[in-house]
Formats: sequence, C-alpha cells, structure tokens
Amino acid sequence: MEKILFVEPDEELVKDFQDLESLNDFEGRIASTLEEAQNLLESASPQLIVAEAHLPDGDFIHWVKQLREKPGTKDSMFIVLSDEKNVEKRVALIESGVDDYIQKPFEMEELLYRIRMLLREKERLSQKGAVEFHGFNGLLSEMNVIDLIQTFEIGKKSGVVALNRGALEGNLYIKDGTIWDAGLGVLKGEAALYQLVLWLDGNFSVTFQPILREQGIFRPVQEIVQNSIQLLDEKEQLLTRLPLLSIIFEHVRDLFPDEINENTQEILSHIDGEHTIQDILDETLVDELTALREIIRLYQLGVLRESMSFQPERTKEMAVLESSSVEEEPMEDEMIDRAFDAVQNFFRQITPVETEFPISEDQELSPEAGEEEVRPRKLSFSRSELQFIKHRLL
Amino acid sequence: MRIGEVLIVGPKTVKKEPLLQKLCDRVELQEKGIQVGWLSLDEEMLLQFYGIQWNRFSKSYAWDLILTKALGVIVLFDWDRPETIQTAEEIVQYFNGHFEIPILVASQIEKDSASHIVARAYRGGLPLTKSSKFTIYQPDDSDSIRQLIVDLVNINLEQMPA
Repeated sequence: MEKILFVEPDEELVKDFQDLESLNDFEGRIASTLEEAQNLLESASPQLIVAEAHLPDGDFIHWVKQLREKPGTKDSMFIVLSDEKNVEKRVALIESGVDDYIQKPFEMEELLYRIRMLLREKERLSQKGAVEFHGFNGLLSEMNVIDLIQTFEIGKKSGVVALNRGALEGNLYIKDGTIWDAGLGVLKGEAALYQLVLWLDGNFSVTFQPILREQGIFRPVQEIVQNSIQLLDEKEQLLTRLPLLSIIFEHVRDLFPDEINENTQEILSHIDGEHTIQDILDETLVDELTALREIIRLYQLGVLRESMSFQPERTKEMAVLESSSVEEEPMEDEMIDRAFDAVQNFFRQITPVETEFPISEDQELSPEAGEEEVRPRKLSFSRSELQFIKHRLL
Repeated sequence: MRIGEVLIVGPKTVKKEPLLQKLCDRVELQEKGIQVGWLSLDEEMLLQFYGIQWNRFSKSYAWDLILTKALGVIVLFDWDRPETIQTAEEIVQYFNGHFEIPILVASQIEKDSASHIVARAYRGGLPLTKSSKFTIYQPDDSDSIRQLIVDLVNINLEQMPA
C-alpha cells in the first residue's frame, strides 16, 4: 500500500483528502504543521509527501531541502500545493526540489490523478534502475510555456520541457537558462518554439538534466519572451473574431480565383464536417496564427459556416465572446443566436427536452434498476406568495 | 412564519458561501461543506438557503427531507472550469432523476470578463426542460445573485396551474 503524508492546515481540504485516501487504498497520514509532519516522518518514510507551501510554523523551502538530504525522505516524491500568484515565488517553490506543483483551488480528483501519475513515474524509474528524478509536471493552463521559460531562466537551469496537446508532442531544450532548441514534429528551432508558446492547454513535464544537443536557437531569452507575448496577444485577438474553437465548420461555396491564396487549399482540405477548428489547427501544416487568419478570412467571406455539431468540452472558449467592442457591431444578434444554440445543444445532452422529469441513468440508490420513482412535490406556497417573494427580491 | 427553502449546490471550486453572504441577512457554517443562510422578506416570510458542496457522497444525502417542499435547486458551475461543468451535469441528472423540483443551472462569469452579449443572451433564463432553466450570474454582483432567486421563483410560477 502506498504511503502518503498530507501536510495541510486547511481542515476542509484535510477532510476531503481523508475521504480520498480512504477510498483509494492509500495509507495516508495527516499533519497540519511542519512539527507534526516531522514527528510523523520520524516513524515512517512515505513514498509521497503532499504539502501546502504556506505552513504556520516554518519555512517550506528550507524544509524540503532538508528532506532531500535525509536518507528516509530523499527519494520521496513531493507535491506542493499553493495559491501563490507571483511567478518568482512559484519558481522558488518548484526549485526547492519538489516533483509537482498544484495551484489552489483544485479538485481532489485532480490531486488523485497527479498522485497516481507521480507514483507511476516513481515505479517506472525504479524499474529502469534510475535513482533520481529531477523535475516536475503540470498543466499548461496553470503554467504556460512562457512561465516555464522564465522558470529556467531565473534559476539558470538546464533541462527538457516535454509538452503535449492532444496528439501533438513537442520538446523545449534549455541550457543554463538559455533557450537552446525546440522540436515539434518536423519543425525545429524557432519555428517549433514559436508554435509551442501558443499552446494554452495540454500538459508539460520538466526534467532537469544536462543538454548535450547542438544549439538550434540563438536569440536571447528576453527577446524570445517578448516575441512570444506578442504572438499570444495576436492569437487572442484572432480568437475574438471566431466562434468557439470547438465548433465544426462546413464548406458552403466555391471560391473565386482571386479569393484563393497559398494556404487556402491546405485549410479547406481539413474542412470535412467532422474536425473542429482546434483539430484543424493541430493537424494543418500551416503555422497556427497563419491558419487562424486564413480560417477567419474564409469565414468572413462566407466560404465557411458553422455546422450544427458542437463539442461542449471546450466551453472555456466562451471567452471569445468577451470582447466589449462587439457591442455596436451588426453581428450581435448572430452571436446571441450562436450562444443560445451552443448552450441549448450542450444541456440537451444531459436533460432531454422531450422528457419533463427524465430518469437518471445513475441508479445506484435504486433498489431495482429502472424502477426509480421521481418524488412528487409538496410545495405549499400559493401563486400570490410566490409573487410576493419575487416582488420583495426585485 | 412561512419559510421558503432553496438549495444552492455546486462543486467545491465554485464558492457558495460568498454568494450566500451577498444574498442573506445571516449565514452560518453548519458543518464542513454546508452553509445555511437566511433572508427575511418581512415579518411573516423568510427564505432559507442551503449552500452545499457536491461530492462523491452527495447522492446519499437525505435530499427528500428538503427537496419535496423546497422552492428549488440552483446548480452552480463556472464556464472557465470545465470540470465544474461535468459536476453540474451530474447534479442535474441526479435531481432530475429523483425529484420533481425546479432546477436553475447557473454559470458563474466574472464581472470583468462577462460579455454584455452573453449576459443579454441569458437574461431571463434559457429553458432546458419545463422544470429547469439555464442562466448566468456574476458572483460579485448582489443584484445578479438575487436575480437567480427570482428566476427560480419564476420557474415555480410557470409550473403552477393558471
């Protein structure tokens, strides 16, 4: 059974963790202070330590460094939990020797996932005979590629950042804090780097290690960071001109000769009524911003239009509707209709409109599956009382 | 004294206590993950709110003690956190499947990021079924939060025989 030490002063999180470990076969121990944690570590060495960075009775970074030197804990995996917003302080936490960083607030399911990933990694490394793993993993939504680059630069570190988004995988090589090379499919060097910095979702895994490959990127880090920020700004601007990245376009009319450019056929070859805009961006040979510009151009020309299909899992991109500058534009009614359609399609999947009180598929409380009864209401309020409540609230 | 009860349910990361603080005269923490708040409408009418964190054990709660006579359930989630939408789905499916109760599914959208277009689109609620609607709210805006209760009362009114 895996031994985990959970060090967390927040009682509510501790309760959630206890629920978690009791259900998932971990042998968990709980401490709310460094002193309690130290006492528990005297009697047993856990495979994994999950700890809040801001503990009431001591310096977290100093504590981690101490543990990394002790025989009983130097090989333990370490996850730090923090609501720290300052990048430099986050970097300092990561560099203290932890294996993973989780930004608060988080769902316990996410913590459980990260715990399993780390334990699996530890198992894999031990089978391979590796004795140490120096690095950390995370989500690009929490720490994007620019943050990671700055993390390396501040600490003058060397290592590899492995990135994945869907089926795409890329690598960033950093030597002594300098961006040394990058790879993404057939792309190398800056061409790969400037695609990777546009990734806002997906996973990363950082491994601190010496870099022996030949140098492929020669610009200073600060210039790359500035360029990357400009590219990200441009991407965000472009996204405001598109519906959700999760929608599917269909090809509705042929182009006139003067409407065709060198990227048109490449983009249109991916418009098949099945691929979302995000899929097209992932699959096309054209770089992401050029592809976005071309998709927008074809959309505005009326060559493309949205099909009825909608993928609700990318609802985060409702943010494309956030631009206040859209207020006076004639597209407003169309955008409202699209927003209605999107949400209606989404919820139609979970609450069938034809059924007034649909029976849930989840029958775990039902004595006989399929015979669950919907409990009738016994509301005792009259129409006039409800009107009164409404009146008082307004 | 007439007491109207409303359940406000959502995943842990969609905060319910600040919402209750903006809505109620008084809020108390009953136990971990459950808050109760009261809003007095006059000497004879009181609204009682339960803020409940949905977790893996929630389906075993004795919901029928409250739900059969409550004004309804407000299910909260956050557009910017896809995992909260999955939890909202689970909650709606559970309540729709077990209780004849009005449900208002409400998405939290931060004030600064809320598009007026989105807000306009969902004003008054988007009907999902006869007994449930979808709307949005701004967690920092008391009027927006009170509108959630108004929307829930409206679902009740729509269900009543004329």
